[in-house]
Amino acid sequence: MSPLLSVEGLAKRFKIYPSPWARAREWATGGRTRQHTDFWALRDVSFAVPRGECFGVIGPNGSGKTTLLKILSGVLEPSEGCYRIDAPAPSVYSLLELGTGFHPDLTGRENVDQSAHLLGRTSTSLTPEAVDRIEEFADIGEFFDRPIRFYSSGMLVRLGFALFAFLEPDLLIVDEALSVGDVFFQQKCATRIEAMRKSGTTFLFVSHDMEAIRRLCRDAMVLSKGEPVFLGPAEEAVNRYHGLLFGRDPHRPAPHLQRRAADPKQGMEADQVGRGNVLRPGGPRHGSRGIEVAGARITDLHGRDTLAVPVGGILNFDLLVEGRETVPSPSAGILIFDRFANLVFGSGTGRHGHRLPGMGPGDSMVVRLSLCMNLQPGRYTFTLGVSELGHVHDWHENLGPFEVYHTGESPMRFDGIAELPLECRHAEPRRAAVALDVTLESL
Amino acid sequence: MLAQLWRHRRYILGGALVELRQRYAGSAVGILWHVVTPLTQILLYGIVFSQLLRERGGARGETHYAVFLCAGLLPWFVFAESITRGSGVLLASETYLKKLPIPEVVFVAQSVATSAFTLGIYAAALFVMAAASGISPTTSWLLLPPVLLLFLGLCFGFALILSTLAVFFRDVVQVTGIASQVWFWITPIVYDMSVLRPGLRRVVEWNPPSAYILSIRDIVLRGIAPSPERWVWMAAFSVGFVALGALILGRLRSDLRDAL
Repeated sequence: MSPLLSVEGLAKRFKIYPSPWARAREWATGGRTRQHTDFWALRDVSFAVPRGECFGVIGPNGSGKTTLLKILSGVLEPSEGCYRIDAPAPSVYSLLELGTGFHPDLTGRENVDQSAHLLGRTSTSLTPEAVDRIEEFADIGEFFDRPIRFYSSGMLVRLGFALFAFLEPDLLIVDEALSVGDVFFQQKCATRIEAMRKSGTTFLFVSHDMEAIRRLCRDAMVLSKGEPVFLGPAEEAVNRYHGLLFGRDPHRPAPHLQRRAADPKQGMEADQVGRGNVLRPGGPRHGSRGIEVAGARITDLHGRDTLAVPVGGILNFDLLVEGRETVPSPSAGILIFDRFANLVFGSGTGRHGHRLPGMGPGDSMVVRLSLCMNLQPGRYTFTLGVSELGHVHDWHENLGPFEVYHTGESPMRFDGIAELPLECRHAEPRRAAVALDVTLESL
Repeated sequence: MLAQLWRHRRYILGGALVELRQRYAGSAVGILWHVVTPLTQILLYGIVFSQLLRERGGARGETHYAVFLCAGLLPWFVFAESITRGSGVLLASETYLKKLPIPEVVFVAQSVATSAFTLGIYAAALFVMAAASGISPTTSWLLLPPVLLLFLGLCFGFALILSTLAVFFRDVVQVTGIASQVWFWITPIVYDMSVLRPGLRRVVEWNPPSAYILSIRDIVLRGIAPSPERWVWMAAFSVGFVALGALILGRLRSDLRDAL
């Protein structure tokens, strides 16, 4: 079966003019004197999405995601390449548009009607039943018949999504908008998306919510500076994206999986850690620098660079420590903060009773701190550093974030910030005597 | 372009209604302001020209000076509104254009549709005025709708050209505002063609809105049909400016939304 959406060599160039006069000059000379500079917001993008699939597009801010969506929804014209939607009368709606077609003075009901016209659906105007279903799905009560200027932003999103969900387009482009609603509405959306997918709607997701991408999409594309740097399974794409956030070279192929963690010290070589993915040049840093953290790297159990880990998974924090002065009893440590800047965990070799050998000028050593991330799903920042008996040598602050995610295969084993070691036991129950008699008699 | 307009016809009309409703929403007499504002102007011009200045702008023989003024001023208001508001309409619709795949021309049409409502109300006001002044309707009044339709075509053409250019050169909006004031005086609105020197008369005759205003005067005041020559001019202006607008938009379309 041919894919519903196929994109080939798509590129978008914006002409940047220093001033309107420059544009006038260029026009006046028929384009012979070039006044503009080109800015390529998108280059060489190709992919295909089969009907009824969800496809993810991820990338840092300014990587061209929005430009891509605008081209696919027909707002912008591509400068090069083409895209094709394989449907008799292709209908593409984008949640980018969420609420833009809404008029503040019209009621929700009138806006739903008006928006349907706005999207050019004059021939198949919304039936009263469809409007009823939209009203029911939006679930905003009497507000449906009030001017939307009185709506909260959450209500707007509800109305917007309800509208799109029941217009049943061939391709629905969903961006961040969806993460606005409360958890119940999000669940409702997820159910509806699944139903729409089954009835043949294809989805394009653009999000910074990696959890959503991982859960909803099979394949995904990572964009960086307008160019696709990865196209493949969503799980892998999310990993690449995290690496990208950190300025790691996205073109570098992922190390192979075969070398399982047979050797607990695998990957602990100075040159590998020195090129690691963690330290930011110019980031906040303090200490007397008797010894320094010259490099740091985070890997998973398989030795792959990563900044994402499932709940309960292990992250290895490798620190490359270099000596400048003689430090007889160094210690390396880590602090982990949640998104509210609560210190979630902090410890190190010294406190853990692991004695590191003394360091002298020119010495170097790799220290690995392996942590089992029994934390609530979310984003965490961290601080890495070396010190000596309460004297700070070199602390790198505000590193990360890394992400702890819940795979959703089984329910979370705990509520709260972190999982404490928990052992459950029980003694043999003593059965109530009466109940036993009854049982015996009935036998 | 016509297909695009047809496809979005309900949005265009709906939006124009909302715009009108919104413009006067919350004001006590609402849509009446639509009539009161121009009537005040007509009253002022009427007083200035018929009472204070004795020449009556060359419309000496005109027994119905108020109707004479109305026939010129009311269409002019519509034209001025079309170009001043119309020139900024694509810029004002920026949020839509940047997010929705709606053709640009739809927004221009919506703005002109708003003006069309106004024109309809004004036409009614003109009839009332004429009847009150003792002019009895003639069959030639039936020619008024086609003239007004062609006139709207002219408005649409100008709005299309100006609004497209305004996206690339934002000064166009301001320049249009100033130009419309000058334009007012080279159009036979408060004066009659007969008052002009021959050289100047040629300029005024070549001025597109003149043809329509003179036709409306012929029909309402004198009860005669516009000359065939004038019909040709009106048709040519309307079709010509719409075509020019379509051509300009067609050329600049691919860059238009990038420049917003």
